[in-house]
Amino acid sequence: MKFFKVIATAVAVCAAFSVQARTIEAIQKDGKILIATEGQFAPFNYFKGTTLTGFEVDVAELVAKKMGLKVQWKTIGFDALLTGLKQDRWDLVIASHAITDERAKAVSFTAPHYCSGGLVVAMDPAIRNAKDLAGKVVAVQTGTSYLENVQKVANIKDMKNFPTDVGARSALVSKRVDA
Amino acid sequence: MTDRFVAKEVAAKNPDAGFKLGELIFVERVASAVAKGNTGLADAWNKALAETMADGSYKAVSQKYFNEDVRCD
Repeated sequence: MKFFKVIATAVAVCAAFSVQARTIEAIQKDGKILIATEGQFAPFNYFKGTTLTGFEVDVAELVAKKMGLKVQWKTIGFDALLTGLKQDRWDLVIASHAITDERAKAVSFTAPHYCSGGLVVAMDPAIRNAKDLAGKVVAVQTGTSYLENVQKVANIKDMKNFPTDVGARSALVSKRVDA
Repeated sequence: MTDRFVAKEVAAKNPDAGFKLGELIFVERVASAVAKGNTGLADAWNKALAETMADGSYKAVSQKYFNEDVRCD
């Protein structure tokens, strides 16, 4: 009898700790979807005073409405967002995450709600695309994905790193770089 | 080379600087995330998102923030 009690308790404890991601059915039954974002990334998700707003917030509200759901928003530091998903603290995260293979190992991505990317900025209107960057000196901000991407796609003459985006742009204006 | 939206904002805020915006060199597809394997939720979200892209509501929000439609092609 005691043995059975121990097992039963163990099973109960296990059940309490095993969290499952909420299914769409469970969410619909609840009537509200718990969405997490950062709130520090204008114009995508940010605070206007105490109101959370932004392109992604508006889109998420639209989508949830189509699903017949109300949104309960949670804002938290960027680093905690995807981990929180794994811990089933919220149902969905919308915070400008680009789809990458690395991230896709840990989470499942939905269809994209916008596309961004590296854009060429130059003083010369003739420098527009990867082809035009061949033989040119290109400025990028240190540590960004643009660094490797520029090297991958263009046959550039040289690349200059700047600690800030603003620094890269000054170099452009002062013609120390071509793009 | 910088982010598409950062470039747009910089050019808008510095109209006399003479910056010329070129083309996208590589594309990032930006999406929402759900718990790994929660395909039921992802599918429901995708369906609803597609509906907003078809009925003009997505476009209206996009225009409001960016003066263009920022969906992926």
